[in-house]
Amino acid sequence: MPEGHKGYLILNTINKGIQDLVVMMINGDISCRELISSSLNRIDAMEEKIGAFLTLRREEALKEAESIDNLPVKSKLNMKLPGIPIAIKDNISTMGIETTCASKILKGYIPPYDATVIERLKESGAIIIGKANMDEFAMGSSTENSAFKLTHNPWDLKRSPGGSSGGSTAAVAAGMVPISLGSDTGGSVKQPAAFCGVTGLRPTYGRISRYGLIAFASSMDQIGPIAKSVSDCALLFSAISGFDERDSTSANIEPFDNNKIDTLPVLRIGVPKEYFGKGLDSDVSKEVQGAINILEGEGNEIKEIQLPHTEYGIETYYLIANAEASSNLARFDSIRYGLRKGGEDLLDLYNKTRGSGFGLEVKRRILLGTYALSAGYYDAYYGQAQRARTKISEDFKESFKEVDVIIGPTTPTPAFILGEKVNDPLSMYLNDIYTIPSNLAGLPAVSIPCGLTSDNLPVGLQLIGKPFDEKRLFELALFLERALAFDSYRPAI
Amino acid sequence: MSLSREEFEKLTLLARLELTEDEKKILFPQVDAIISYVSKLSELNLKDVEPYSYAASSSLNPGDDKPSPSLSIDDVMRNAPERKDAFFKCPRVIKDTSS
Repeated sequence: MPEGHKGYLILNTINKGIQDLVVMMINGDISCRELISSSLNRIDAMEEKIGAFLTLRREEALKEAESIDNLPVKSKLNMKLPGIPIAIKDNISTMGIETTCASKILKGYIPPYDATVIERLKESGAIIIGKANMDEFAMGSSTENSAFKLTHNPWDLKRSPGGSSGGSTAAVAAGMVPISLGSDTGGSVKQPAAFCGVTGLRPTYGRISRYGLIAFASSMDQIGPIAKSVSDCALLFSAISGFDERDSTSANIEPFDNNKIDTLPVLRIGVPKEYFGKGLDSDVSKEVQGAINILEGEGNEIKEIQLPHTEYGIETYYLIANAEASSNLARFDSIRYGLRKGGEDLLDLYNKTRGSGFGLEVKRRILLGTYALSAGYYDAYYGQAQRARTKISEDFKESFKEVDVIIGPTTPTPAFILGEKVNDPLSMYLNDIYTIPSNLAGLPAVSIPCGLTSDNLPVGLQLIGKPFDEKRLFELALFLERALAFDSYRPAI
Repeated sequence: MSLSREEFEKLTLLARLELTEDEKKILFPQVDAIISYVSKLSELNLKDVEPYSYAASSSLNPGDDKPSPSLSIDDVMRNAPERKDAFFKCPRVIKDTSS
């Protein structure tokens, strides 16, 4: 496409922020239809290499774009995301759009209703481009557990985008969409955001409605916004957060307001020594330390803190999450929806359907969860894990008496090579060692890119906050984003 | 070894998962290894610690008990593997033992 051609201009919109895109549309520089076309063109050029999507909505998205184009400017100005293309993780219910959780057991399932976040996105004017690939039922850290396809990391196609929201983060990193939604139970937004060099927020438990999110571990599941920049992530978060009476664990507090993000006040910032020990890649350590030095140079107080129960995080998480999963996934019984196999009698129907519909990782987790909840083992495993969860949560409460925010690496290593860990579940689980503890405590955390390794792979750092203190996380993240100028780096695809 | 073969077989039945022999060969040692791994938690003395009950927010919101429209039967039934009229169809639940 020749430079100067209008299409060329649109293609370059991929790297623009949402506010700029909205201004361009309001000024008539581009139409919404052109914006959606540019997103679809980019997907056409990249999808074969990346594999981010399970479902695409070409015609529907273009039609919806025309409706946005036909709205009066005043209406568009009242919307937070008018005509902005978005990818949605395939475990979030979208009315009339296939929603599979990347599982054979839900192939062909069309939800009859929208998740609350989808209703809110529609009210905001956002346009769903498609449904993003993921680890089956959000169980995994590499997106290799999808029953349908592999997703590749845009920074290095041999590597995993992370998971379980790997399709959502890869789509943003590859410039296919400016924003996406993922979900985070043990780190499934933060970890792939770190691997793909994008911003991902796991909000405080209860801040975003879980209504319509297909459940994995209900006491930890949270939907999280993903974007190329901190301000886009905050804007998307403001569009979907807030109380919802259809989710009984929804927190009845003011929705997040991205317009209230201030300049950075001087903060007390905690650095947990447990997050900088054995197993941390030296490049990751160096880049995160570089960001901490910048914060210190700005006059913030950097304080070493201790989270002594960190080493029990993975065990605690895998017991609680899988116990909840074994219970939640009991609903896949082939009676009301989903795959059906066998059928001599009910037991045969359940055994065969679930035996052929679930993948290996899901089976592994259901079996572990069933074990942890079974008679004779309940107190020793599930009960003990719930008590350990109290201790992990208390570690954070104690620390937050002394500091305002906690900083550390999001993951111990940068993105690993596809196939490297998929047959070794325990080594895969270790990936989540820094993201799990704050999730067990229900705390918000944002992962932002903070540099590149010598192999040219993004490094993510996470900022963990007090409950409902996302505003402060965004302020700090925005400051670091500007100081580190990470947005000048792009994957070379 | 934390898990006997017999216990593993019982687990697959409790979890309603019919596994192939190949899957059993992979999953039995893995589930056993994961159980050994998570057993590390038993080294913590947590006798007097309250089990965790609820994340961040302090109260649950049961919502108002007010009627609101439901989904239409056709919308709900559209995903059913088998249906008859407004009913989900499945194998007989109570067996006929009279004959």
